[in-house]
Amino acid sequence: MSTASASASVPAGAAGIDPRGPRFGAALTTVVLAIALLTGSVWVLAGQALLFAAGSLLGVRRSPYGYLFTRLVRPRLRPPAELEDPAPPRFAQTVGLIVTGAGLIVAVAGVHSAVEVSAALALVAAFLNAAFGLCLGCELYLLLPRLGASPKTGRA
Amino acid sequence: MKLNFVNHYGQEYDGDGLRWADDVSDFEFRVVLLVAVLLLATLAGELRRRQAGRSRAVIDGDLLTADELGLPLGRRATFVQFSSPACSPCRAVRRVLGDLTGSQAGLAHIELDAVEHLDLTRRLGILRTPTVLLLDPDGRVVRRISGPLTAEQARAAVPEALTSPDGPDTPDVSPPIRSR
Repeated sequence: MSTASASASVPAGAAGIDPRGPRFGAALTTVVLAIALLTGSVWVLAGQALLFAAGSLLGVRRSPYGYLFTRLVRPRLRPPAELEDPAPPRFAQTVGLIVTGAGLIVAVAGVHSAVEVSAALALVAAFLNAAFGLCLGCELYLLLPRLGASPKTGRA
Repeated sequence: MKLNFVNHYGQEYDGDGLRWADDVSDFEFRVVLLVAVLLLATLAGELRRRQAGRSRAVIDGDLLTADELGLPLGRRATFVQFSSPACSPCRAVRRVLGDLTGSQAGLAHIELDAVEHLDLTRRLGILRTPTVLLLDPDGRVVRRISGPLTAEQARAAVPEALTSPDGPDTPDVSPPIRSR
């Protein structure tokens, strides 16, 4: 049924995260994926897939990059102007995990260029997030159910 | 972590993966690839940024009813916002439209979860959230704004909607359109 203003996503009192946290994480992710693309190393890509898995399973705040941000970066910044819902960036981590995970599986199966292809795809998404604040994974959230699948991961 | 640039691929890839000309080394090829990917992403991001919040006139738009939307339409205009839980700009748009419709008579703001209204989402061709449709008093879609919009862009869209060629010829739009 239809929802009026304010009830469509986050409850008003929900604790949010500093939106600069995911951007910081995306910047580090961009660097790691650029290295993966430059080296073609399965191991670098696997490392990034593990980081995506941590962000997806633990949530962005408890992921390694989130932890770094809270401990090292945020104390040096002014308090954020507004807080953000943690579900969208967490969903984006899941999308990153799917893209890099699929690349790893195909690469291990013998098609080595899958490392470059999946690193390049994830790199575009991470770079757009870091540089423009644009969340590709979040936009997929709508396209998947439109095609018939139903992503439930991001709703946690 | 060890970075092994040279010859690592030339051998392993042999006919299966990426190929490069003999006079270009593996690493040079990769640097070019990386730069190309980043340039492409920058271009896409810049395009998206310019599009954001721009409202486009919709010719012969769909007619939406209060029944379908679940809430009554505004007397002057209605903003229908498609959101999703995984969308942080949607919150900002909600605030912008909430403020605007709260401060001017005859305007309504209806926010729908795009995933819960897949029938409407498909029918109206909504591809991304937030997408905002502006309806005339009859419920006809007259403008469409995709991506985050500012308070100013939202305010500007309203008179546009009511003066657009497709706008209402109904004379009973009670409060006259106030100029900004």
